[in-house]
Amino acid sequence: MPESVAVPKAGLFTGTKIAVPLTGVTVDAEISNLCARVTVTQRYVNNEAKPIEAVYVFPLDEASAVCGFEAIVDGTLVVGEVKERDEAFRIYDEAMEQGHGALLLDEERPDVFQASVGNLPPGKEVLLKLTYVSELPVADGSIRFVVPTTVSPRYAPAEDQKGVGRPDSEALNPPVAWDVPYGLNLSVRLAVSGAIGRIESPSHPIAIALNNGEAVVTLSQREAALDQDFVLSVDAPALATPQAWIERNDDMDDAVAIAFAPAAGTGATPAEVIFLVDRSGSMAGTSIEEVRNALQLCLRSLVSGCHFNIIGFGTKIDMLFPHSRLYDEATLAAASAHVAGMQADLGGTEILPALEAAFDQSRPTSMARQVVVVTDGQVTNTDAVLAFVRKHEAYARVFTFGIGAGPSHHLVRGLARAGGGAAEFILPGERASTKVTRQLARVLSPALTNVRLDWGGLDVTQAPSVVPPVFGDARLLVYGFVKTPREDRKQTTIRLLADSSSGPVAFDVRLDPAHPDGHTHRTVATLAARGRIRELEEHPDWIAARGSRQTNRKTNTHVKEIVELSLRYGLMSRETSYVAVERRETPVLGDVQLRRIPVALTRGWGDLTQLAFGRPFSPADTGVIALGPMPRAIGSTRMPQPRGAAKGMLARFLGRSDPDDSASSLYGSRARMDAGAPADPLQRLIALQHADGSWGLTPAFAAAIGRTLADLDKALSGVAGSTTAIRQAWATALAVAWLERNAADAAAEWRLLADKARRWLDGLGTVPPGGRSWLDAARAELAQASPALRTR
Amino acid sequence: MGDAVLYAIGDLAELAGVSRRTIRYYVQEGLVPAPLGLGRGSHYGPAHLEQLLKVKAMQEAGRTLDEIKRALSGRGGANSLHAAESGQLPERSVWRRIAIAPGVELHVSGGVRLPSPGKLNELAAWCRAHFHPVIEEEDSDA
Repeated sequence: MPESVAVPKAGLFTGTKIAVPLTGVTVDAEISNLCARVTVTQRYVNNEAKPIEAVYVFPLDEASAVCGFEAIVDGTLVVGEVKERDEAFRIYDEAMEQGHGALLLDEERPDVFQASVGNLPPGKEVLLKLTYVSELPVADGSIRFVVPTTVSPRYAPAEDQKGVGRPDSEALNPPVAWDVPYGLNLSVRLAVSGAIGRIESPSHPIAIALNNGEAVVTLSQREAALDQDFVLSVDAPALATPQAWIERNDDMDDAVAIAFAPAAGTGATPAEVIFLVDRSGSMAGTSIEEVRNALQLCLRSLVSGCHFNIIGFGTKIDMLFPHSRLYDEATLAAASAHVAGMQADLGGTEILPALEAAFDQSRPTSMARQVVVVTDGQVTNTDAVLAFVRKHEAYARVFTFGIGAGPSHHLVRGLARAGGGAAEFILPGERASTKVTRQLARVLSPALTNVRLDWGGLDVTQAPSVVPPVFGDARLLVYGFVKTPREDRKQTTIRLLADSSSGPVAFDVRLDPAHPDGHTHRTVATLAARGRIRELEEHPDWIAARGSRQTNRKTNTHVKEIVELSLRYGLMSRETSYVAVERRETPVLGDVQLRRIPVALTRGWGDLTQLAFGRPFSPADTGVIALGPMPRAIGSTRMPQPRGAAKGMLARFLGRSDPDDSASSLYGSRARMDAGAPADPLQRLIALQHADGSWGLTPAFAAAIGRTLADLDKALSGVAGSTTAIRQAWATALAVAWLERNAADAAAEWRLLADKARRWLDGLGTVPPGGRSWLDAARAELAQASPALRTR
Repeated sequence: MGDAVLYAIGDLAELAGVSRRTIRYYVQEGLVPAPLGLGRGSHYGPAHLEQLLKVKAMQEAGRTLDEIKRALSGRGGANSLHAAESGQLPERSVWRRIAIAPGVELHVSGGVRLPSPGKLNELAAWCRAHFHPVIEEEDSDA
């Protein structure tokens, strides 16, 4: 038994002496070419005098396929089984009633899970282990591996606070604490073939150990707070090449996974772009700052001929223009000023009406409508939102930016999936411009559509059955269950077919069935089954069936298929849960105390740290933030009084009535935090570009590139033609030359801007003295004037 | 009420037309009293059933848990439910609804005491058996 059992230490309590039975979370991951396999271990200890039931709501990656659940109870291994959700609860509940130990794992959303540890006797310890595999997003040859750590408070629209039983507003909003006494330990093994380039974490300090070409990443600190996503980004160029896996399974179908690296066309085509910006309370602080910066870059990456609009949303909607307007100097200036003054001041996250408003706008032209949603995604009605977008996918493509330390990956990725677009995530403090540029390039470039596979004579049940549109830079994984008997399989070519803007295209991958891959634990089959389950769970029919809660749900074909797949492949889903029973010879009967584990408030959430305290968190701030009636979580111990301001803000955000309503004054009195002039010369230069792609020769421009106006003017003496046009051409050429020379390492960020500038220069009739091009003249000017600025 | 009729949680769930999870949740939230007894022997009585149906009916009527808690904590007892700022609630709102066929339901007032949970299921089964052919005939006529 751990020492802490005998003498409860402060570390096991929040600052107000409320017992928290969860003592730590450990994550062990292995990243292979195909996916990540992750084991999460949660350690629970009952330090109280009575038996307890500990309930912990926690996040997992939304792409995760949970395929293992076991527990070590007092040294004995108990293995879980997948059952239908209600049946699993019955087994759990009956076991508890009979005095046995019981463990239950429910999926509330693809990214929110609940673990229940039932009837844990005084002094006992449980190690709960769950295993999942998860597909990794690969873009530009770089893997992004994310471990979400806390469930951010989620806004519940009125309809999610209703309905028989526990409403979604409760299920997805565990008690929140300033600080929690359990932390995270983490280790990630990189078993990727080929060279591994840069390994970095934009979220946490990490330590990297290299051994025989394999790298192991751990956290630098001994234990990290569970208040922001852990993000690891790894450059693995080998993942940008096509690959095929075939897996032999003795007790189920053999499975196949194919990774394509399709090249979609690039080049910007004018479109109608509507920016839908979350300005709810949870976005306050660093999040809204990130949004302002990202939007400024987005605006300048649009091309002439585009129409655009910005719609801010919360409980209210705030539109820049009544409907989309042509992108020109005047509209860019108006939009830029609008963005600079943008605040998170519109209340709760009513994303559904905002999407309706964006989709319903009258169309200025017949050009394609692209909606770019910028949000932290913290809402409970994800099912309804995804269903709406899927239903209207013909009206617009939807792209998303997930903002903040703990966004809802399910909503942000799900929206992009449903809307045929793509998702990007921007962490606080992370350089956003590469991602913004990459995303805008997708928005303005035609995707590969009507994507389908030719399995080369192999009989395969494909998952997902419908392949989403493909953009230029992303790896595409498609799975299947192989029906062809092993002896009849031959070497073959799997072909991806699609429609591009220039006609049909095809991409091939060779598959050799004689060489099954090295994966074990039915990894490929698990991913294939998960792919199919996700497709079913995001289908409007399933969502409608979920809403009805009628007895005839069970006859719904989608429900049936989800249950059947989950049971066959031992996978969790919205319809199934994992349950394990620890049979006891001597039942433990008594008054079992319910302990809801508080979760840490997401770092920077709603700017609450600064708002409430004006200083960062410290252990002294420990305590549970109470919402409405006191959480029954923490038993009979008296709860700390909630801090007025924070409580009001949380309650308002969550859509609950709050009698003090102290939040309104906070919003009202909040000083405006204008971005002002950016300090970074690159950002300063970008901010000066005109809508048509040109720059003006002004003192601010000269300062941005480190010169004086008089200095730059000199080169223009004696040039014939309109002075304005010539000055503009000179500045534009100088800007492009400066970018090439001084910001080559960030080329991905300004590629679109420079393309636009070059097009503008190409359309000019004038040439500088000496008969060279404007750009060559500018390059020569910068080389001659400032050799010291040269960067490597 | 208060006779010797006792239900196990499974029977109670079936009678009230809610899931086992919902009953546990209502008890945790203090919306329905805790069962009588501990462990294997714990059981529920008619008062539990009545309260359960009451809370369920209020949720079905679109009221949030906060509103229901406020209504219930008013003066205690059944009358406070109606007294507390709820003009919309009808006088008798406690009914069991059992789906018989799409669009067809059997309604049983919460005030009607049936001999055992099994009886109600028998009744529902009888209804389903006798209603289905009728509906199909009408469909095929149309």
